[in-house]
Amino acid sequence: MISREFNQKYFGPGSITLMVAGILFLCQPWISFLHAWSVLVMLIGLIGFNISVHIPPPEQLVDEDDTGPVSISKTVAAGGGHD
Amino acid sequence: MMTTLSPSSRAATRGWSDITIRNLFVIPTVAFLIIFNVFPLLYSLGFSFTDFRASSKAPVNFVGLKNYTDILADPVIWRSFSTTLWYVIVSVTGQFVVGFGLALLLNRPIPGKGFLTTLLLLPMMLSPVVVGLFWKLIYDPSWGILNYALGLGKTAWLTDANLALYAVAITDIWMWSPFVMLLSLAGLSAVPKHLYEAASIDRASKLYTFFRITLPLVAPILLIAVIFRTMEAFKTFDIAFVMTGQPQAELISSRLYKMAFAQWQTGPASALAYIVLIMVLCITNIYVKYLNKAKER
Repeated sequence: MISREFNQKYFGPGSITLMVAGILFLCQPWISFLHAWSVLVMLIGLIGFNISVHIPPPEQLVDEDDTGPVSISKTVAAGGGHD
Repeated sequence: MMTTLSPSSRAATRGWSDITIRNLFVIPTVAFLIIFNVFPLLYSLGFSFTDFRASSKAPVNFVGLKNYTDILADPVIWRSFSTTLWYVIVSVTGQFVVGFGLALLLNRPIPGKGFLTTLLLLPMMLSPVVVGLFWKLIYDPSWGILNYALGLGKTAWLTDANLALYAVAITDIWMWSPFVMLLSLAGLSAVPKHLYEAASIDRASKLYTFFRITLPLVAPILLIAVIFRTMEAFKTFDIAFVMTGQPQAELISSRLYKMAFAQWQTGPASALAYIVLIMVLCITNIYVKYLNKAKER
Protein backbone atom coordinates (compact mmCIF):
# COMPACT_ATOMS: atom_id res chain seq x y z
CA MET A 1 0.00 0.00 0.00
CA ILE A 2 1.45 3.36 -1.02
CA SER A 3 0.68 6.25 1.34
CA ARG A 4 -0.68 9.44 -0.19
CA GLU A 5 2.25 11.52 1.09
CA PHE A 6 4.80 9.03 -0.27
CA ASN A 7 2.99 9.01 -3.60
CA GLN A 8 2.98 12.79 -3.89
CA LYS A 9 6.58 13.28 -2.73
CA TYR A 10 8.44 10.33 -4.24
CA PHE A 11 6.40 7.74 -6.16
CA GLY A 12 4.77 10.08 -8.73
CA PRO A 13 7.90 12.17 -9.50
CA GLY A 14 10.00 8.95 -9.45
CA SER A 15 7.75 7.36 -12.08
CA ILE A 16 8.05 10.42 -14.33
CA THR A 17 11.84 10.38 -13.88
CA LEU A 18 11.91 6.70 -14.87
CA MET A 19 9.85 7.38 -18.01
CA VAL A 20 12.12 10.25 -19.07
CA ALA A 21 15.23 8.22 -18.23
CA GLY A 22 13.89 5.28 -20.25
CA ILE A 23 13.37 7.48 -23.32
CA LEU A 24 16.88 8.92 -22.96
CA PHE A 25 18.39 5.44 -22.45
CA LEU A 26 16.63 4.18 -25.57
CA CYS A 27 17.83 7.01 -27.81
CA GLN A 28 21.33 7.74 -26.43
CA PRO A 29 24.04 6.60 -28.87
CA TRP A 30 26.83 5.72 -26.38
CA ILE A 31 26.09 2.94 -23.84
CA SER A 32 24.68 -0.32 -25.21
CA PHE A 33 23.73 -1.64 -21.75
CA LEU A 34 21.40 1.32 -21.11
CA HIS A 35 19.82 0.93 -24.56
CA ALA A 36 19.16 -2.78 -23.94
CA TRP A 37 17.30 -2.13 -20.64
CA SER A 38 15.58 1.09 -21.67
CA VAL A 39 12.21 -0.46 -22.55
CA LEU A 40 11.98 -2.13 -19.14
CA VAL A 41 12.80 1.17 -17.42
CA MET A 42 10.10 2.95 -19.49
CA LEU A 43 7.55 0.22 -18.72
CA ILE A 44 8.22 0.37 -14.97
CA GLY A 45 7.88 4.16 -15.11
CA LEU A 46 4.68 3.96 -17.17
CA ILE A 47 3.02 1.42 -14.86
CA GLY A 48 4.19 3.34 -11.77
CA PHE A 49 2.83 6.60 -13.18
CA ASN A 50 -0.56 5.03 -13.94
CA ILE A 51 -0.75 3.70 -10.36
CA SER A 52 0.37 7.08 -9.00
CA VAL A 53 -2.32 9.15 -10.80
CA HIS A 54 -5.03 6.91 -9.34
CA ILE A 55 -3.99 7.62 -5.75
CA PRO A 56 -5.75 10.77 -4.47
CA PRO A 57 -3.57 13.61 -3.11
CA PRO A 58 -3.15 13.90 0.70
CA GLU A 59 -6.01 15.66 2.48
CA GLN A 60 -5.36 19.32 3.33
CA LEU A 61 -5.35 20.24 7.02
CA VAL A 62 -8.36 22.47 7.73
CA ASP A 63 -8.23 25.30 10.25
CA GLU A 64 -11.16 24.61 12.58
CA ASP A 65 -11.93 28.33 13.10
CA ASP A 66 -12.14 28.93 9.39
CA THR A 67 -15.32 27.38 8.06
CA GLY A 68 -14.48 28.53 4.54
CA PRO A 69 -16.83 30.04 1.99
CA VAL A 70 -20.54 29.34 2.49
CA SER A 71 -22.29 27.47 -0.29
CA ILE A 72 -25.80 28.89 -0.76
CA SER A 73 -26.98 25.92 -2.83
CA LYS A 74 -25.76 23.42 -0.21
CA THR A 75 -27.34 25.41 2.62
CA VAL A 76 -30.67 25.62 0.79
CA ALA A 77 -30.52 21.91 -0.10
CA ALA A 78 -29.91 21.10 3.57
CA GLY A 79 -33.09 22.98 4.50
CA GLY A 80 -31.35 26.06 5.90
CA GLY A 81 -31.89 29.71 5.06
CA HIS A 82 -34.77 32.06 5.84
CA ASP A 83 -38.28 30.71 6.31
CA MET B 1 -58.53 16.54 -33.53
CA MET B 2 -55.16 15.88 -35.22
CA THR B 3 -52.07 15.53 -33.02
CA THR B 4 -48.44 15.23 -34.15
CA LEU B 5 -46.05 12.98 -32.31
CA SER B 6 -42.51 14.03 -31.52
CA PRO B 7 -39.80 11.63 -32.72
CA SER B 8 -39.23 10.43 -29.16
CA SER B 9 -42.96 9.70 -28.77
CA ARG B 10 -42.90 7.78 -32.08
CA ALA B 11 -40.01 5.69 -30.75
CA ALA B 12 -41.96 5.19 -27.55
CA THR B 13 -44.99 3.87 -29.49
CA ARG B 14 -42.65 1.34 -31.17
CA GLY B 15 -41.58 0.21 -27.71
CA TRP B 16 -38.03 1.67 -27.82
CA SER B 17 -36.73 2.85 -24.50
CA ASP B 18 -34.21 5.70 -24.14
CA ILE B 19 -31.52 3.12 -23.45
CA THR B 20 -32.30 1.29 -26.72
CA ILE B 21 -32.10 4.52 -28.72
CA ARG B 22 -28.83 5.47 -27.01
CA ASN B 23 -27.40 2.03 -27.77
CA LEU B 24 -28.43 2.35 -31.43
CA PHE B 25 -26.20 5.42 -31.69
CA VAL B 26 -23.32 4.21 -29.55
CA ILE B 27 -22.92 0.56 -30.62
CA PRO B 28 -21.91 1.20 -34.29
CA THR B 29 -19.18 3.65 -33.17
CA VAL B 30 -17.86 1.32 -30.50
CA ALA B 31 -17.97 -1.64 -32.92
CA PHE B 32 -16.05 0.39 -35.52
CA LEU B 33 -13.40 1.32 -32.95
CA ILE B 34 -13.06 -2.27 -31.75
CA ILE B 35 -12.77 -3.70 -35.28
CA PHE B 36 -10.35 -1.12 -36.70
CA ASN B 37 -8.39 0.05 -33.62
CA VAL B 38 -8.51 -2.29 -30.64
CA PHE B 39 -8.46 -5.61 -32.49
CA PRO B 40 -5.41 -4.79 -34.72
CA LEU B 41 -3.62 -3.40 -31.67
CA LEU B 42 -4.08 -6.62 -29.70
CA TYR B 43 -3.49 -8.81 -32.76
CA SER B 44 -0.15 -7.08 -33.46
CA LEU B 45 0.80 -7.55 -29.79
CA GLY B 46 0.41 -11.28 -30.41
CA PHE B 47 2.52 -11.01 -33.59
CA SER B 48 5.31 -9.27 -31.67
CA PHE B 49 5.97 -12.54 -29.81
CA THR B 50 6.12 -14.66 -32.99
CA ASP B 51 8.30 -15.04 -36.10
CA PHE B 52 5.29 -14.31 -38.36
CA ARG B 53 5.96 -12.97 -41.87
CA ALA B 54 2.94 -11.59 -43.73
CA SER B 55 4.49 -12.58 -47.08
CA SER B 56 5.04 -16.23 -46.18
CA LYS B 57 2.77 -19.21 -45.55
CA ALA B 58 5.30 -20.83 -43.19
CA PRO B 59 3.91 -21.92 -39.80
CA VAL B 60 4.05 -19.23 -37.13
CA ASN B 61 6.22 -20.01 -34.10
CA PHE B 62 6.05 -18.43 -30.67
CA VAL B 63 9.47 -16.91 -29.91
CA GLY B 64 8.74 -15.17 -26.59
CA LEU B 65 10.70 -11.96 -26.01
CA LYS B 66 13.29 -12.79 -28.71
CA ASN B 67 12.00 -10.08 -31.11
CA TYR B 68 12.33 -7.45 -28.37
CA THR B 69 15.82 -8.53 -27.29
CA ASP B 70 16.95 -8.73 -30.95
CA ILE B 71 15.66 -5.22 -31.66
CA LEU B 72 17.37 -3.81 -28.59
CA ALA B 73 20.64 -5.47 -29.68
CA ASP B 74 20.42 -4.32 -33.33
CA PRO B 75 22.93 -1.49 -34.05
CA VAL B 76 20.93 -0.25 -37.08
CA ILE B 77 17.77 0.24 -35.01
CA TRP B 78 19.81 1.77 -32.19
CA ARG B 79 21.24 4.30 -34.68
CA SER B 80 17.70 5.05 -35.90
CA PHE B 81 16.59 5.78 -32.33
CA SER B 82 19.62 8.05 -31.76
CA THR B 83 18.99 9.82 -35.08
CA THR B 84 15.35 10.30 -34.10
CA LEU B 85 16.32 11.85 -30.74
CA TRP B 86 18.81 14.22 -32.41
CA TYR B 87 16.19 15.12 -35.03
CA VAL B 88 13.64 15.83 -32.26
CA ILE B 89 16.11 18.06 -30.38
CA VAL B 90 17.07 20.07 -33.50
CA SER B 91 13.55 20.30 -34.87
CA VAL B 92 11.72 21.20 -31.63
CA THR B 93 14.41 23.72 -30.55
CA GLY B 94 14.21 25.38 -33.97
CA GLN B 95 10.42 25.47 -33.89
CA PHE B 96 10.48 26.92 -30.38
CA VAL B 97 12.99 29.68 -31.23
CA VAL B 98 11.35 30.65 -34.56
CA GLY B 99 7.77 30.27 -33.30
CA PHE B 100 8.25 32.21 -30.09
CA GLY B 101 10.28 34.88 -31.89
CA LEU B 102 7.51 35.38 -34.44
CA ALA B 103 4.93 35.54 -31.65
CA LEU B 104 6.95 38.26 -29.87
CA LEU B 105 7.12 40.22 -33.12
CA LEU B 106 3.41 39.86 -33.76
CA ASN B 107 2.45 40.72 -30.17
CA ARG B 108 2.69 44.46 -30.85
CA PRO B 109 0.51 46.87 -32.80
CA ILE B 110 1.61 46.52 -36.43
CA PRO B 111 -0.39 47.26 -39.58
CA GLY B 112 -1.84 44.19 -41.34
CA LYS B 113 -1.28 41.99 -38.29
CA GLY B 114 -4.25 39.70 -39.00
CA PHE B 115 -3.23 39.16 -42.63
CA LEU B 116 0.39 38.53 -41.62
CA THR B 117 -0.65 36.00 -38.98
CA THR B 118 -2.81 34.12 -41.51
CA LEU B 119 0.05 34.15 -44.03
CA LEU B 120 2.46 32.75 -41.44
CA LEU B 121 0.00 29.98 -40.55
CA LEU B 122 -0.20 28.67 -44.13
CA PRO B 123 2.68 26.11 -43.95
CA MET B 124 0.95 24.34 -41.07
CA MET B 125 -2.14 23.78 -43.19
CA LEU B 126 -0.31 22.01 -46.03
CA SER B 127 0.02 18.26 -46.38
CA PRO B 128 3.42 17.00 -45.10
CA VAL B 129 3.99 15.01 -48.31
CA VAL B 130 3.43 18.12 -50.45
CA VAL B 131 5.76 20.12 -48.19
CA GLY B 132 8.40 17.37 -48.47
CA LEU B 133 8.13 17.30 -52.26
CA PHE B 134 8.48 21.02 -52.81
CA TRP B 135 11.32 21.37 -50.29
CA LYS B 136 13.03 18.58 -52.24
CA LEU B 137 12.89 20.92 -55.25
CA ILE B 138 14.16 23.83 -53.15
CA TYR B 139 17.13 21.71 -51.96
CA ASP B 140 17.99 20.39 -55.44
CA PRO B 141 21.79 20.73 -55.97
CA SER B 142 21.53 21.65 -59.68
CA TRP B 143 18.65 24.09 -59.89
CA GLY B 144 17.29 24.41 -56.34
CA ILE B 145 16.64 27.98 -55.21
CA LEU B 146 18.31 27.54 -51.78
CA ASN B 147 21.84 26.95 -53.11
CA TYR B 148 21.34 29.81 -55.60
CA ALA B 149 20.09 32.25 -52.94
CA LEU B 150 22.81 31.39 -50.41
CA GLY B 151 25.55 31.02 -53.01
CA LEU B 152 26.39 27.50 -51.85
CA GLY B 153 27.28 26.08 -55.26
CA LYS B 154 26.19 22.46 -55.70
CA THR B 155 25.62 21.49 -52.05
CA ALA B 156 23.72 18.20 -52.04
CA TRP B 157 21.49 18.74 -49.02
CA LEU B 158 19.50 15.53 -49.24
CA THR B 159 22.20 13.08 -50.36
CA ASP B 160 24.98 14.30 -48.05
CA ALA B 161 24.99 12.00 -45.00
CA ASN B 162 25.88 14.89 -42.67
CA LEU B 163 23.32 17.35 -44.04
CA ALA B 164 20.26 15.20 -44.84
CA LEU B 165 18.90 15.10 -41.29
CA TYR B 166 19.29 18.88 -40.87
CA ALA B 167 17.60 19.47 -44.23
CA VAL B 168 14.58 17.45 -43.06
CA ALA B 169 14.63 19.25 -39.69
CA ILE B 170 14.66 22.68 -41.43
CA THR B 171 11.61 21.64 -43.43
CA ASP B 172 9.85 20.50 -40.25
CA ILE B 173 10.78 23.79 -38.54
CA TRP B 174 9.34 25.74 -41.49
CA MET B 175 6.15 23.73 -41.36
CA TRP B 176 5.48 23.62 -37.62
CA SER B 177 6.90 26.91 -36.24
CA PRO B 178 3.50 28.56 -36.90
CA PHE B 179 1.93 26.10 -34.46
CA VAL B 180 4.29 27.22 -31.67
CA MET B 181 3.74 30.83 -32.79
CA LEU B 182 -0.04 30.45 -32.50
CA LEU B 183 0.10 29.01 -28.98
CA SER B 184 2.74 31.55 -27.87
CA LEU B 185 0.65 34.40 -29.27
CA ALA B 186 -2.36 33.19 -27.28
CA GLY B 187 -0.19 33.08 -24.15
CA LEU B 188 1.37 36.50 -24.78
CA SER B 189 -1.96 38.21 -25.38
CA ALA B 190 -3.23 36.82 -22.04
CA VAL B 191 -0.46 38.53 -20.01
CA PRO B 192 -2.11 41.38 -18.05
CA LYS B 193 -1.02 44.79 -19.37
CA HIS B 194 -0.89 46.35 -15.90
CA LEU B 195 2.14 44.18 -15.09
CA TYR B 196 4.09 45.85 -17.91
CA GLU B 197 2.87 49.28 -16.75
CA ALA B 198 4.04 48.53 -13.19
CA ALA B 199 7.41 47.34 -14.55
CA SER B 200 7.86 50.51 -16.62
CA ILE B 201 7.00 52.68 -13.60
CA ASP B 202 9.70 50.81 -11.67
CA ARG B 203 12.04 51.52 -14.63
CA ALA B 204 12.64 47.79 -15.26
CA SER B 205 14.76 47.05 -18.34
CA LYS B 206 13.29 45.26 -21.39
CA LEU B 207 15.36 42.17 -20.63
CA TYR B 208 14.28 42.13 -16.98
CA THR B 209 10.62 42.53 -17.98
CA PHE B 210 10.96 39.67 -20.46
CA PHE B 211 12.59 37.24 -18.02
CA ARG B 212 10.54 38.22 -14.95
CA ILE B 213 7.08 38.86 -16.43
CA THR B 214 6.65 37.60 -19.99
CA LEU B 215 8.48 34.28 -19.83
CA PRO B 216 7.11 33.02 -16.47
CA LEU B 217 3.53 33.80 -17.50
CA VAL B 218 3.82 32.24 -20.96
CA ALA B 219 5.88 29.25 -19.75
CA PRO B 220 2.95 26.83 -19.13
CA ILE B 221 1.55 27.28 -22.63
CA LEU B 222 5.05 27.13 -24.15
CA LEU B 223 5.65 23.89 -22.29
CA ILE B 224 2.47 22.45 -23.78
CA ALA B 225 3.58 23.50 -27.28
CA VAL B 226 7.03 21.95 -26.79
CA ILE B 227 5.73 18.67 -25.38
CA PHE B 228 3.11 18.42 -28.13
CA ARG B 229 5.69 19.06 -30.85
CA THR B 230 8.13 16.60 -29.22
CA MET B 231 5.46 13.91 -29.32
CA GLU B 232 4.75 14.62 -32.99
CA ALA B 233 8.44 14.86 -33.96
CA PHE B 234 9.12 11.38 -32.54
CA LYS B 235 6.48 10.03 -34.93
CA THR B 236 7.66 11.95 -38.04
CA PHE B 237 7.50 9.73 -41.10
CA ASP B 238 6.07 11.40 -44.20
CA ILE B 239 8.46 14.35 -44.63
CA ALA B 240 11.60 12.26 -43.99
CA PHE B 241 10.38 9.39 -46.15
CA VAL B 242 9.57 11.64 -49.10
CA MET B 243 12.73 13.76 -48.87
CA THR B 244 15.67 11.45 -48.23
CA GLY B 245 16.74 7.82 -48.33
CA GLN B 246 20.02 8.40 -46.46
CA PRO B 247 20.63 5.66 -43.83
CA GLN B 248 22.27 8.30 -41.61
CA ALA B 249 19.02 10.27 -41.63
CA GLU B 250 16.74 7.29 -41.13
CA LEU B 251 14.15 7.97 -38.44
CA ILE B 252 12.65 5.17 -36.40
CA SER B 253 9.29 5.36 -38.21
CA SER B 254 11.04 4.91 -41.60
CA ARG B 255 12.97 1.94 -40.17
CA LEU B 256 9.69 0.46 -38.94
CA TYR B 257 8.10 0.91 -42.37
CA LYS B 258 11.05 -0.83 -44.07
CA MET B 259 10.96 -3.74 -41.63
CA ALA B 260 7.22 -4.23 -41.97
CA PHE B 261 6.63 -3.65 -45.69
CA ALA B 262 9.99 -3.96 -47.51
CA GLN B 263 11.54 -6.86 -45.58
CA TRP B 264 8.21 -8.38 -44.46
CA GLN B 265 9.50 -9.00 -40.91
CA THR B 266 6.00 -8.65 -39.47
CA GLY B 267 6.79 -10.13 -36.02
CA PRO B 268 9.91 -8.02 -35.27
CA ALA B 269 8.23 -4.95 -36.84
CA SER B 270 5.27 -5.38 -34.46
CA ALA B 271 7.73 -5.58 -31.53
CA LEU B 272 9.44 -2.38 -32.71
CA ALA B 273 6.04 -0.70 -33.10
CA TYR B 274 5.24 -1.61 -29.49
CA ILE B 275 8.55 -0.14 -28.28
CA VAL B 276 7.71 3.09 -30.11
CA LEU B 277 4.17 2.94 -28.66
CA ILE B 278 5.53 2.63 -25.10
CA MET B 279 7.82 5.61 -25.76
CA VAL B 280 4.98 7.74 -27.16
CA LEU B 281 2.71 6.69 -24.25
CA CYS B 282 5.38 7.88 -21.80
CA ILE B 283 5.61 11.25 -23.57
CA THR B 284 1.80 11.51 -23.72
CA ASN B 285 1.47 10.81 -19.99
CA ILE B 286 4.05 13.49 -19.17
CA TYR B 287 2.22 15.85 -21.54
CA VAL B 288 -1.17 15.24 -19.86
CA LYS B 289 0.38 15.66 -16.41
CA TYR B 290 1.84 19.09 -17.27
CA LEU B 291 -1.31 20.08 -19.16
CA ASN B 292 -3.35 19.51 -16.00
CA LYS B 293 -0.79 21.45 -13.96
CA ALA B 294 -0.99 24.35 -16.42
CA LYS B 295 -4.81 24.28 -16.22
CA GLU B 296 -4.68 24.51 -12.40
CA ARG B 297 -2.60 27.73 -12.55
